[in-house]
Amino acid sequence: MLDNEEVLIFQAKNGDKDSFRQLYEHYIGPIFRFIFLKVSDRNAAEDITHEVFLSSWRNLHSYQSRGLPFSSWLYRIARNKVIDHYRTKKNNIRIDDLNEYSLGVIDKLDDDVDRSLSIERVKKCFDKLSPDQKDVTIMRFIEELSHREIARALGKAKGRYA
Amino acid sequence: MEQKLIKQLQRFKAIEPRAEYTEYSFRLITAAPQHFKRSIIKRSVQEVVTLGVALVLASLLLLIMLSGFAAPKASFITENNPDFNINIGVARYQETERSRQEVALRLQSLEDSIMNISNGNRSQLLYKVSELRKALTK
Repeated sequence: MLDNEEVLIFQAKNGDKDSFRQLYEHYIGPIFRFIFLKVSDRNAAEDITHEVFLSSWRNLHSYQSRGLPFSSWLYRIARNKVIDHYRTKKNNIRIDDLNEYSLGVIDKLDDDVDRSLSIERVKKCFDKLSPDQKDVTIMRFIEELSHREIARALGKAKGRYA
Repeated sequence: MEQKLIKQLQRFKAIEPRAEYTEYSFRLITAAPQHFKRSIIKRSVQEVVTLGVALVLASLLLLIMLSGFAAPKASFITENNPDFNINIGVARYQETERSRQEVALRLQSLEDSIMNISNGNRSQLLYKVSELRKALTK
């Protein structure tokens, strides 16, 4: 969460593009990753991410900070857009389509990570998860969101999403 | 094992959108109008429409209620009003008389046209007309 997030949201609600840029730059990475890991296609992920932020910009007035962190609101929009994507396209891209090149992590391999536990195996395990489990895994273990933020993003009570 | 798995998962954090994409996308997004201003107009229009519909429905309800109560009263007055009954009788008589005269005129013109017929059916047709005339005068 940004330090002055509420102020930025308030200003962005009044059409301030610079404030929205700060929010956008802060959240574009996590939201893009979340979508990319769900759809396994960079182009589709870019299109959906664009739609998420376009929707958030257009409907910012409807966002109420009471009880719902801004990140959770964005994740909620992202989840709905991903569902819409699968509903309309019906292309079942497997997580196997992800490769280290497309992930851009090939140069960032950590030497002390056990190489036998390859990223391919993690992807295959990830593929076996249900959509909700994938959401929680991404939010909790990749983006390190709080339980409250995850619960709010999933529209569930805290402690009931696991 | 669990820690290693988490560590592997966190490698996905390296996934980033392309810089040129983010800039281009941001420009497109902020070029789009926000729904805020439109929503105020939309909301006020909706409020006006809702109020209008409510007023129309209330007036209709009131009208139905009032006319519903007034209807038996009106029929009570007319049914028991002797002048009204006389007027109805006069109107009925005039209407019957008018149609009787119209029929008589038509029969007359029919009779005239029969007189111009030269064949042997003339007497038969004239008999039928006279029968109709008798029925009319009854």
